[in-house]
Parts: sequence; C-alpha cells; structure tokens
Amino acid sequence: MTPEPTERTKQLAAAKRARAKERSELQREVASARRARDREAWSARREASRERQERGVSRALRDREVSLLDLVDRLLDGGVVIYGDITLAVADVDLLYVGLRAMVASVETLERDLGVSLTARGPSLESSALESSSLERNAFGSSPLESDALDSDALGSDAFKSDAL
Amino acid sequence: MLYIYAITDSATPPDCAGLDGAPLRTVGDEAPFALVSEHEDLSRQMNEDDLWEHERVVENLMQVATALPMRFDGSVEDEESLRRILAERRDEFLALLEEVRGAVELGVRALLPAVPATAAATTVSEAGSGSGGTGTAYLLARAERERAVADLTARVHEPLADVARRSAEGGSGLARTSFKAAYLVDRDRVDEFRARVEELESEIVDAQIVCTGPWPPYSFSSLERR
Repeated sequence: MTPEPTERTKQLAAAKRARAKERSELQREVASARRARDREAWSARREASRERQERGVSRALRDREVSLLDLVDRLLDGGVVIYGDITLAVADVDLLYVGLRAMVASVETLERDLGVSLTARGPSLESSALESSSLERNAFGSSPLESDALDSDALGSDAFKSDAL
Repeated sequence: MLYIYAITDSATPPDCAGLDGAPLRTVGDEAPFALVSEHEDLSRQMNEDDLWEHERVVENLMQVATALPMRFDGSVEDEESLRRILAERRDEFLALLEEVRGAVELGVRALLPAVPATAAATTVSEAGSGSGGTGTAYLLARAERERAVADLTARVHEPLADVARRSAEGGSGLARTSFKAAYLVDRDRVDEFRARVEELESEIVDAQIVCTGPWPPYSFSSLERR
C-alpha cells in the first residue's frame, strides 16, 4: 500500500526539486561562464595570431623592400667594374666609363665619383624604376633623403642631362 | 657579346643558366677566370628580374667557388678583350679573391625615425629666442640629425666590426641621414654576427636596424674602395 504523502514528505520533495533546480541553474551558469571564457580565450588567441601575422607580414614586406634596396645598391654600386663600355666625354675630356643603364640607375655613385649632385634631376632620371634614392624613400617611408643636397656645379648635371640622357 | 657575372678561382661554371636562360661558361686558362654567358644582343632594357638573375648566378657560383661579383650590366664585345682584361688585372683579382675567400658580405642599415619639421622648428626657436628664420631652423635641425646619425654609427658599427673580417661604410658624403655599412664576415661567424645585430636591435630602441645577406662580396671587390 502506498502511504498518503504526508505534509512532511511533500515538503521534502519540494525542497529536493528546488535544490535540483538550483543545481542545474548553477551548472548552466558554470557552463555558460566556461563557454564565455573559452570564447574570450579563443578570440584573444585569434587576435594574437592576427597581430603576429601582421607583424610578420609587415616585417617580411619591409625586409623584402630592404633586400631589393640592398640588391640595387650592391649590383649597381659595388662589384668588379670592367671599363670600356661607354665613354662619356665633355669637351674632349673623358669623364666616366660605365654602362649607360648603370649610370642612370646609380645616382649615388655618380655623386660620389664626380663630386657633384645630380639630385636636381630631370624627368629621365626620375622615370628610372631602379633609381636608388627613390627606392630608399619607398623602403623607409621617410622624407626625401637627398633632395636637399646642394644644387650642383652646372658642369656635371647639365652636361649629363643634355648629352647622355 | 659576353655578359660577365663574376671573377672566380674556378674553371667550372655552376650548374645553372644565365640571363635569358643562356648557358654559362668560364673564360681563361688559369685563375682568375671570368664567368660569362654569350648573347647576341644585350641592348634590351634590363629590369628588376635581371638583377635577381645576376645575383642568383653569383650565389650559385659561391656555393662551389670563391667569387668576386661583377657590377651589374658588365659586358665585353668578345672573348679576346676579356682575356686581355683578365691578364692586365690578374694580380689585383687574385689578391682580392684571397681576401674574400671563405667569407660573405652582410649589409646593415640603421635608420632614425624622421623628426617632424614642426617639432624641430619649435626646439630651434626656443633655443635661438626668435632670431633666425626657417633657414636657420632647417640648418640646425639638419646639424642635429647629422650628430644623431654619427652617434648611432658609433654605437652600431664598433660591435659589428669586431666580428667582421673587414668593413666598408656606405652612403654618399652628401646629407648623411642614415647609417649604412657592409661587413665581410667569415662564413662560420655569420650566426654570431646576426646575433650581435639582434642584440643591438633590442638595445637601441630609437632606431630601426636591418641586416640583409649573406651577399656575394660586392663591397669588397675593388681596390679603389679602400
């Protein structure tokens, strides 16, 4: 026979249900807190990896630009030179023996070798893709590095612009 | 025409092709040899890819021999004139080959952050109490920058030169705004050199320091650079 539930047992059952409910609410809260934490951790990780990636990319990009700059510097300004490619003469004085393309490209070398500035330059010099000081500007994003150089001694720059380029 | 990539101590060309896929060969009966490729016509416009091709050929050669890289776009009409040049400059080339044997070149650049013109001008007008116009401000700012670069040079160059066999400072004499140098480093000290650069990078926070290479010894291939 089933005893009639007394007031006491009813109370106990209700308390039990309430506890169970509390427990399951607590569990839900814990679970949702855990999910939130996981979400945060995940997005933090994702953020960190994105930052890492961006840093890596910009660094790689910068390094690639600098590598090209260094390559241009070395190939057009360094290395063994064999004379006899082209002779530029002004008023019967031999000025320079270099390949014409190398000359257009390596303004810095010319400035050093001739002791004059070619940086007040004409369109033909600026249009050269390999012109070193423009690369230098691009790679470092700084203000024009050499454009404030002295305005030259006319012999050098004018002679070159009109005769050679 | 013969396009020249390098002067070398090896009669055997590296196992790759040259510019425009042309086969490589060496010229000379004894060291120094020249590494060349033969071309009908070299008057076409050279571009960035050609620079990398030239570089690639020299790097391949350096895997198997000692090399003095040629400046880009160096060519001679025929083999006879090249042989004459090799004979005339034999002593120079042999001496230079000896100097770079077993070493590679590393490039280092250091750049200070750009100073905004207005900031520089303000400092100056405070110091000069209003006398002097923008021209004075400009010159003073420039002098200040040159001093900063000289300071940077001292801090960067010394520790690196210690690890290197030789060094060559770059940059034109005009308006020095950054530090640039090349170092000839023994192959087995390259890692040590790079570690030094990294130390400097963390020590000197106000400058960007970049190290590239290893390169063929472009900056150590001519006597006039001394």
